Amino acid sequence: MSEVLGIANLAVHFRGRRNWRGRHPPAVRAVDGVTFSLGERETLGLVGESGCGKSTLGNAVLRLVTPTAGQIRFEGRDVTGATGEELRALRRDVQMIFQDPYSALNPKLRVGESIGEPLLAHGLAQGAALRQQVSELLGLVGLPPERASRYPHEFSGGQRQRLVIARALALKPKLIVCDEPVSALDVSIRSQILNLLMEFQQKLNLSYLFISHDLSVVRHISHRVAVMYLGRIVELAPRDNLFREPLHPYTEALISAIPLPDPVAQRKRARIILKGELPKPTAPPPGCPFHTRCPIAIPKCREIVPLLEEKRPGHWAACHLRG
Amino acid sequence: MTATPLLSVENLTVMIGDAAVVDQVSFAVGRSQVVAIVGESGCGKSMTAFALMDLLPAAARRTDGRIDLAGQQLHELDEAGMQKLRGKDMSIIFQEPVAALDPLMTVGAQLVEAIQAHQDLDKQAALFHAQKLLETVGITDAQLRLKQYPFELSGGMCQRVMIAGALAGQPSLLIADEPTTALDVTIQAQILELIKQRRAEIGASVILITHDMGVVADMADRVLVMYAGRIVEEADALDLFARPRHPYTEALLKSVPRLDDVPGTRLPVIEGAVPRPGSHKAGCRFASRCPMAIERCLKEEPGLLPVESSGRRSACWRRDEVGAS
Repeated sequence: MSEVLGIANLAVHFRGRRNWRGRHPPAVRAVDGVTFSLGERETLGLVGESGCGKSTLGNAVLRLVTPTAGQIRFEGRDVTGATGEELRALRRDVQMIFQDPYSALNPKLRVGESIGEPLLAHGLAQGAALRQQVSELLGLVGLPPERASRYPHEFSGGQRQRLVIARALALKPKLIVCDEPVSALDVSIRSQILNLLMEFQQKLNLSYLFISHDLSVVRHISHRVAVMYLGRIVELAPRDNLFREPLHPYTEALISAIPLPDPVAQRKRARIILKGELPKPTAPPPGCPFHTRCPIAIPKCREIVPLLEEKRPGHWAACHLRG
Repeated sequence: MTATPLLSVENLTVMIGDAAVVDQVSFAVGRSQVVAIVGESGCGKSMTAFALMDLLPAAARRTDGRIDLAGQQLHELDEAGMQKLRGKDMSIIFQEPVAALDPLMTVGAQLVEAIQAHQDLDKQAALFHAQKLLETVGITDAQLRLKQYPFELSGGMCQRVMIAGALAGQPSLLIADEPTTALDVTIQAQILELIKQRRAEIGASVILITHDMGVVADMADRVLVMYAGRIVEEADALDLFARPRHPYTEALLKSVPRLDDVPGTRLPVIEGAVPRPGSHKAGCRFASRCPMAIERCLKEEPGLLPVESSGRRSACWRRDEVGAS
């Protein structure tokens, strides 16, 4: 599988504004030394709890935030410092779908204008050709083309997410960063949108970086899954390996924390309940970032940061004890 | 269920303008029972909870219904009467823990207020009691937390504070409106465990409002499924998951990706969307989205009637056929 996206040792730190004494508060290490690659027509699920840095990582891929260190490769080109035409080209090939379809569409633009805007901005179509393409895009996501002249408020949440997808597809991208695309939707709508995304992947040769906190959704749509904790990837593996045999204690706890919609099975399940909460990313604990909540931590974990190592073929984990 | 339920609700109706968002809803909650109310957004589950607490938003009003809580007729009480009851006999915890606490009051001040409303304690004693409460909900450094403001705490911690406040008066009924929806899964697991524990200690009944069938499977004894303002199915949790008797319940259960399904396959979908309140036509409200709908469903609305097993009800003309495969 040829690489579409490659991330190497990527770090994104936010320094924050100087306080009244002229000093910077401690930097937020939102993404800290992340490495992975994403192949053609592949979906990489990126899971973790709020504040783990998964959205910042997604934003960095589109260069919506500036990396502090490391490298971003797109189709083999280093785009970490891309500017001008090179950056415009990147933003043609990489698109984004956001969580909240209510705020992702300009309420004052007709939806046809919103969907056509990327084409117009990149000078790819105008006039009748633009209208034609907008109609086709609406048809593609299952909405009647004549509704191009309506405003976003005339659509339901699920329909709005279809509009957002149509806009993301307008430039025929190769990679779409999906940031919690179904989290704001009701369960019945959620499955429609997931089906649509899976269908387009095959039809249009798309790669997805699929960011979500919902492991059931990620398991359904992803080929490989990366688990993030405090800005780092703690486990990365093919889907079935990760869910069948999680190596990192955090992954294990995450999986066991999801209640199964089956009372007989659920009430028999042994649940690992983690103590405490995510430490602040301004002051990550020394050693393994997870050791403060880890049920199996040993003294070594408090001192030495475990590296992400290939413990089994294709199965990476950052833990001193497992694997 | 015990002979006399703790709470019984009959024909509860809540209107916003001309539209009934809760439409002739009747159910009962037994002592120490956990009853889950499930459904999609806009189905009326939160409005039902707010109506029970008499905390409806300004635009909504209760137009019909009897609410009996351990012999007290809540529908006859005025605001002063309800105020005496809230926190003592019944409490509610909300979805957005950070928004539900007063941002300008310390955690301690809020808890003291809740405690003094129903118990004759001076400030010092109430503060001590508040500290004990925080400890029971698993908050470490309780003394420090009492002096902090909600913005200084995480979402999970605020939810614990809210639970501490809600349970301060040892109510016999706790209403939890999507208590973990805004929280991360590991924190959700902690909070659900906490609700189970505290409930076991106090012996309270719980009405749990959620859209997450996993949470229902984990917590509920009994389940009410709501759709477009009506209860469409009611059953014991085990029976409901074993075989739903309403096509909407069946669709809700099937359309969610599960940790044990086959990845990458097309998920079953429910076409269309929930009708807006008041916009539904004659017949069953789910008919336009229902894969099993027949002629009759478009003309006559089915009542919530018993299905063979005891205490099980479904509002579907084809209740005997649903889930038979």
